[in-house]
Amino acid sequence: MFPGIDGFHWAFGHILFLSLFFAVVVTILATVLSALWHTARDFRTHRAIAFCWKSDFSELPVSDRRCRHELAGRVMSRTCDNAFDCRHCGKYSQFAVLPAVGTVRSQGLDCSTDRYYHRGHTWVKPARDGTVTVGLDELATRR
Amino acid sequence: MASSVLTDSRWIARGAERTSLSRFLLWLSPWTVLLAIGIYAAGLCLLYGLNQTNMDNRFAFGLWIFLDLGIIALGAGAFFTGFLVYILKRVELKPILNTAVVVGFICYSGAVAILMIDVGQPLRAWFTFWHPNTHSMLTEVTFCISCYLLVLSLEYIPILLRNRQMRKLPSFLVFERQLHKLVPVLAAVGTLLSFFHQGSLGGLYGVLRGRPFAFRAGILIWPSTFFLFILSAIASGPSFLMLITATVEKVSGRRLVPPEVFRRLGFISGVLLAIYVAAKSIDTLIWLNITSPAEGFAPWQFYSYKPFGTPILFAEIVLLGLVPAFLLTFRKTASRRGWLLTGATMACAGILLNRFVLTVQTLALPTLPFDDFLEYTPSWQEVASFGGVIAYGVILYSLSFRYLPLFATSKGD
Repeated sequence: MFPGIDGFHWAFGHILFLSLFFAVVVTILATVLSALWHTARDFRTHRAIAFCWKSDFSELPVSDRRCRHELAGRVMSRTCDNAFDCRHCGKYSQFAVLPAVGTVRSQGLDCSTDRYYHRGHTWVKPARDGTVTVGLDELATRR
Repeated sequence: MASSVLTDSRWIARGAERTSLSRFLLWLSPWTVLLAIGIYAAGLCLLYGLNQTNMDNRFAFGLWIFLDLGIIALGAGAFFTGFLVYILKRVELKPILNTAVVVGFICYSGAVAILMIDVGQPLRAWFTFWHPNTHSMLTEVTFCISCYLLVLSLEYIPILLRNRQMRKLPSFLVFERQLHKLVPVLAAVGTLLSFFHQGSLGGLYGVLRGRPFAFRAGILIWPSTFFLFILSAIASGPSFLMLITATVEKVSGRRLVPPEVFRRLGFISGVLLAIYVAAKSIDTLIWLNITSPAEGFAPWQFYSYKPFGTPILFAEIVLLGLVPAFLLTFRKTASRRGWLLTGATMACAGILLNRFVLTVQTLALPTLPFDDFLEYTPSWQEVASFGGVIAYGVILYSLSFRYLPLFATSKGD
């Protein structure tokens, strides 16, 4: 196995066989260590959170992945494929200019279409002067 | 209240339909009993030694080695599917990849477990790593099987971490993603390891000069059985995967993989089986006409002992070799599911027969003038351990199918 161990010889067969074996073992260990290191890095750089959300999103049934423009009444039916991240949606600007339809009832809560809702039960409402108002949704304010 | 206790729906993948927990436990119960008997028998062998078996110094390979060779050959579908998907980019086989890994893991872990009992002194198993005999085929087999089992475990981990409850832990989820990215590296390493240990298992018999029924001439240091074992394993592996998947489809009552995957696996298996049959036929002819006479043995004398007559040779090459190769390859038969699965069953049976012949027939035949034809009947401990490994496989696969996405084709894949 190693020089100095009973049975080891400095012969071509021994060197070749053990080199191959150790190369395989090192490759396997390097693979595991690499996966662990990348995992730690993802947590350090907060990429893990985004990935976890994407994974949770992919698990959601289609009925829970309805596009915000469908909820706002701008389109009849549309399923989100971008983990509710409208920055990466190619159709966003196309739908955003359409008029919204008042208040939408979603998941037992009334949602106003003039603001952006977060899944953490908060919302942001942009005003014409560029300022924004932050608030809590119906569930968060319920006593 | 009782019904809420007897439910495991939280652990089952969202959208997957599975039978009730009570029916599932009912299905597992006979297998658990069989596993318990197997563990008891294995315990007796480990506690009191190999005198619990009917093997002896003359008949040193029996039911256990047949089981090892058989399940390792059938488990070759794991490395071969990984090789096809990750190295040759046959992405159409992706739906079967997870189940291939689980089947491979079961086969190899079962084989290693039974080898540990067969070695008789499992606590000294590390000797083979510390003092390896690099001229021994068995050393290569030991090293490669150990490493490959490690690789299969690492390939199984991402599947395990995709369980619905496991996914809730962010560290598991991210680690699964990172490990999954590196699976192609593991697939390449697994291919190398499998290639060598499948070959070495065959080479092990080919170098037995004292057993002229198995001894073969070869190329450089490798007897022909080295290459025949590799070919037969990669031919039967896809067929076994088809059989497992078809059985699960039958039991669960739903289609799990597209029919094209079956046809593709069948075609690959059939073509490789045809090549194997051709190589095996040439090898047999060389052995009959050159190798065996050169050792001083009239080859047909090996077939004069009942029940090991020429019908076994015919069954191995024609009935369970050429016929399934035809069934799996030709479009008319391969397009019919019934014929396809018949071909796959025959292919697997043919490979098992080959491993039986090389293990049992080789040792039963006399090799010296004063030798007798040996008879061997496995003891109940051997049979129970054999059954225990089968039960372990069924239980682990059933649990994996119930709680893990074995046939899922999510976007992340």
